[in-house]
Amino acid sequence: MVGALLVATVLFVCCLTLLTPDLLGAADCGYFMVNWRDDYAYLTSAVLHITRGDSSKQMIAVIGASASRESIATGDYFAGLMEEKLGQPFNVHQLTAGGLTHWEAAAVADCIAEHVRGVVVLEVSPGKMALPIRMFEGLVRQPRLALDSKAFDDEARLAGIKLPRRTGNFFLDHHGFFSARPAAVLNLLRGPVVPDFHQAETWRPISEEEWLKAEEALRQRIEGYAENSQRNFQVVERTIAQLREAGGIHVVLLEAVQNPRADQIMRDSPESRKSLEAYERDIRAFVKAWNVPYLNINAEAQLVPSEFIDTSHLRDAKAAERYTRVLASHLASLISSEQTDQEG
Amino acid sequence: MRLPRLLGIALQAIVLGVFLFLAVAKLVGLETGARIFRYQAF
Repeated sequence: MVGALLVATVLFVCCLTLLTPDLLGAADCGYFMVNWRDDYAYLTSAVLHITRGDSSKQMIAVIGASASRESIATGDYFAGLMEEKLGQPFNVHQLTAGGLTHWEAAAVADCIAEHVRGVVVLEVSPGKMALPIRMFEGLVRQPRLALDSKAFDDEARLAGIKLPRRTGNFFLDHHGFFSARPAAVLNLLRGPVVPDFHQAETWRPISEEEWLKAEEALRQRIEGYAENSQRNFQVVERTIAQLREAGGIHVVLLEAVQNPRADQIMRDSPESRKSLEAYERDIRAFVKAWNVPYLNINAEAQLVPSEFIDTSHLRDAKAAERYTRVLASHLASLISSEQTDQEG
Repeated sequence: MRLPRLLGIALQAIVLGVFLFLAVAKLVGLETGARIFRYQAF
């Protein structure tokens, strides 16, 4: 019994001393993932990995939720397209996780800002801009990412949310992240998990019956728009400002992918249409005020309802390649025009 | 006879210690509501 207690204590001390941001950034992200769908463990490791690297190579970082995760064919395919168009190598980082909010995106951007040079693509959507402050309260209380971010803390303070007490020890401060994943210890025996960005392939498609009831669910996603959008756009503003302040980063806003069928359902509903139109006005005013490129490439990528598994996730590999080609083409144009401006 | 006995005790302590540590971790996780976020498809 004393021996068992001693072993448990030694393990605890090992966690306190060994589980550091450096280790999470250096080790394969798969060691901290419970399974291949464990987005937030992947994202934490991917961000910490970037913070350890050098910023000499041009980089494209896409920060977004599952709609963006499913829409990009693969990072290598994306990087290849960029190299083909611009004649220089690129690192593509898919910093995506299911349901990633703009508050978490601010934390990710804060962590990578000083370590990247290139383009940071921030996903935006009416649903994200409609998120209520109580969602942020939940994320402060139980963070999904194990990242120490001043920007995230500052956002909480600005929103009047009390921050949890910090000890300065990474393991203790992020005990929720680790205690949710005790099974990850088995990865030491069976090897690291391999993350997969195309989770929607394994999901059940929405039935016709569910589509008939979709209006209500889609409306609920944006019903808080009028109340919350101003505050949420301010978070995006501060994220852009921080990235720009770091230098060498072009920020691009990318409208999240949406199934055209879901879009039509929302436009057919008077209530949803009102919020959507308000969003469209606001995002236009926002990009003008902040002089930030905004890409809404859903129509150009010619995505059709049959290529989606639900309201916002692509399941068709060819459609994801088409979308990635359109995105790469826009980003390449933006980068080359910026380079021309700088040379001029 | 002494060495195998000591090895047995050590092995038992390691196994029990690992289980104890994981059980406490799980308990802390449950107590604080820590969970892995799963996207709920539509």
